Amino acid sequence: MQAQAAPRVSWALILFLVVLHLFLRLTLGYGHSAPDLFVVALLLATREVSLGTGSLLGLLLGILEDGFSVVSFGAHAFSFSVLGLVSGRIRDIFVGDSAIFMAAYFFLGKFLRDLLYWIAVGDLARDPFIDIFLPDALLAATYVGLVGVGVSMLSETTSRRV
Amino acid sequence: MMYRPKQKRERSGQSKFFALSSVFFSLLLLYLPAELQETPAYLIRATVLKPFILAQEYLVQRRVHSIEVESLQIRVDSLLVVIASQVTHKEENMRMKDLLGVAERIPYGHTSSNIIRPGTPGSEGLFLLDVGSRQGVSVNAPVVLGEGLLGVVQDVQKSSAVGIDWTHFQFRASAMTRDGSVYGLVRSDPGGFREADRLLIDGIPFHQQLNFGTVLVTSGLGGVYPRGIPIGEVFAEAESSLGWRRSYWVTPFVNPGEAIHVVIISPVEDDLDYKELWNFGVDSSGGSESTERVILTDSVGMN
Repeated sequence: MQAQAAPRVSWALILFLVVLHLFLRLTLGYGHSAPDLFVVALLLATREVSLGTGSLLGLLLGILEDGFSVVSFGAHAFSFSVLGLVSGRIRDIFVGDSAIFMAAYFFLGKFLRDLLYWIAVGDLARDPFIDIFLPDALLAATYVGLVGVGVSMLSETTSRRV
Repeated sequence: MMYRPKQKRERSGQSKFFALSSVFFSLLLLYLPAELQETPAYLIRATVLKPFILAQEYLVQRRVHSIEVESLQIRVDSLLVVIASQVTHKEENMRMKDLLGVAERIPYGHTSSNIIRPGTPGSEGLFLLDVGSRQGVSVNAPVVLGEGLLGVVQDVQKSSAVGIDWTHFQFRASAMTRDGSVYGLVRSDPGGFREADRLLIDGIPFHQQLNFGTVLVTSGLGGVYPRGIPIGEVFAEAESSLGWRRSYWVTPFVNPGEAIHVVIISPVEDDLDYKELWNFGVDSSGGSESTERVILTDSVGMN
């Protein structure tokens, strides 16, 4: 009988990240000072689940984020569901547990999510590209990259102990 | 519940179809008509996000209660003195209003509320109010602070509402100088970063000029904002387009970040001039008038 490889992340961790994201950004009102933990949760999840599940998870997270988008409802849902789909397709490129690879994975994921949101949000609500992406989106992506590596390493350590 | 291991991942066409359906559904949401988009957004706020919003409301209330207790005590003491000295004035005032037939013109329909900021991407310029249609709040009701106009209510539910402040890209207000000689349309103009957002008054005829420091108030045109609510003061000319029109940068009186407790003006059927509630002094062209303002937004001032 073949032994099954232990999963590296659990639904509990994903749920924790989602709740923490909402708590930091919504309840405490930290806004962009808090990392985008939805992206971290989605990118971690899509490494383990099927393409469809990853995209559906992205859709649900996006709809949650869209709760306060009065004029561009659906833009977050679109960006997250596409991110879920894309990360599910390319996850095999970012193989192994190298911190650099993981940082690049989270960095690119966050940047892609911001880019997709910027495209989907529409002309009215859209700030100029340069204002959004230099340096805000790069900093936000770096922030998510660092936090994502930290979370994935913590998750790895925990799963090994288990 | 744990994930399935990598070896068990599905790569079937069914999974791809499921993924593409999710993307398609998100596009469907994105292109829903604006009226239909409000319902799912409200449902999300009223269900999944409700605990987080309630927690934020609780924290905001705690903060409001904890800060400036000493300052509030001083204000209460001052108000008690004022009220005690104006008991006879109020009675006299009511008698005179009856005589003049203007008692119904006083806007008693104001509602006070705490402001909650969502803090999520895409919600910049938006705020939540902890009052709704049950408290008499309606769509397009102006939201003001003691210093002047903050924004407008955009969506109302039974016990909550969503508003936009002047930094929101959809914010527009018809404005005029206090003497009503110059009219224009005020809109938000995003700065290089959020803290640098400012207002721009546009559509001023080329032959009319505004001095720096000129106070702008709502004109009452358009039927959204009552006449006379302070907006800001002119600080620089933005452009003069080919001899047709002028536009000026405006420094708003209200900083959205400072807004914790606000007043929502309920629509009044008459043409009450709110200019009387903000006594700016005498001269309309001076640059230092705003510092001389006496703000009369409390209940004593309204009576």
